[in-house]
Amino acid sequence: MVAAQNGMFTLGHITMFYAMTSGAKLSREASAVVSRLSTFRLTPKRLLTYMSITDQIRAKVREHQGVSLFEIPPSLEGEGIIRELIVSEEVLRAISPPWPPHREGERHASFRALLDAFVQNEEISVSETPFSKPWDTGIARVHPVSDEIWDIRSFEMPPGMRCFGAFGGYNLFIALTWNYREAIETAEDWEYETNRCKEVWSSLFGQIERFRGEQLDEYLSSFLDLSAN
Amino acid sequence: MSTSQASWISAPTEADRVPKTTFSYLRTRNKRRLYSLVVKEFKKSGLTQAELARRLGRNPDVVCRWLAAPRNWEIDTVSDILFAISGAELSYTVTYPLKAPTRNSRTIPWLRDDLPAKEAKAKRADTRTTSADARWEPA
Repeated sequence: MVAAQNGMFTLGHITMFYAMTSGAKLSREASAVVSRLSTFRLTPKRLLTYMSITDQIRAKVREHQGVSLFEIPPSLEGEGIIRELIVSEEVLRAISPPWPPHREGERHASFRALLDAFVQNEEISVSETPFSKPWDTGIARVHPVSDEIWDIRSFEMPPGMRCFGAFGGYNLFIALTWNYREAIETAEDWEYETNRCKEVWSSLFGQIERFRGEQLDEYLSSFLDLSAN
Repeated sequence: MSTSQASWISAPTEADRVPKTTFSYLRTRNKRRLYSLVVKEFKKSGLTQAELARRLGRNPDVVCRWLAAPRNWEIDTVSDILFAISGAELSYTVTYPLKAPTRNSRTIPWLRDDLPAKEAKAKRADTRTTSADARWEPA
């Protein structure tokens, strides 16, 4: 019944169900439905799970949109969105002008340019392995990898800034927290930042898991995996 | 809080000093665009970093560093890399991003999925309020 309400069953399914329970021979249409159902069952569970998580995350984003989560259109009018970036209020404040007209302001403006480049699908270097990556990788998964927390890394006005978040699906990044790089020195600092990001995730998305891909191309487009060469 | 910040970069006018933050934004933007162009060309070529390093006569570590992140490349460096990758060179033109027409794709489509439904619901609520007000209006 629930499945029928969700639009999963059609008249063909009902015909097939009747035929199967009454012992009648299946019509050609009913056989086709059985075939489709078999195909459905054979679809890898992994793919269905990913779609489900992304849909759940999207629903939560819609729920929080304009209140605690925000979409970021590119700073220049003539440019469109290719990768989707959703930010928390904390990140929105960091990347929204006016900024102070000194070095710190320039650092924030540069960081905004980095996020705009992300949205516009500019090439970005990626690393999945926290402890064996070039120091200036563009986006990297943070230790422990099982937490699926990633940081987008800005190196302008060294030492730059780090923005923590998680993928909600293919080309969908949800940026939740940030800090200046010089404030994240020790392992404890990193752990603190990771935990803070996870807490914000939980407050917004509850028990919904963060997106987990098996390969980098399940996370995003236009990337350079430096470990591949 | 609004997310419509499309106009925070304004065109230079008369003798007004361009804000440092605008310069900073545009420098990063251009570094990233140049980096993106080089990486796209590198990926298209199918070369490995080691092969590119051999073509350039450089240490593979240097090439790895070049490809890891956008940098303040000298024109000589970009010229060498592009030619070594595919015999390419930069093409020069000037564009005016502040004058570009607004794109339709400036919002995330699935965030707008239920907008008509929301609007219809709001309209229905409006109608109910209006009729309720009419009923409660003192004679």
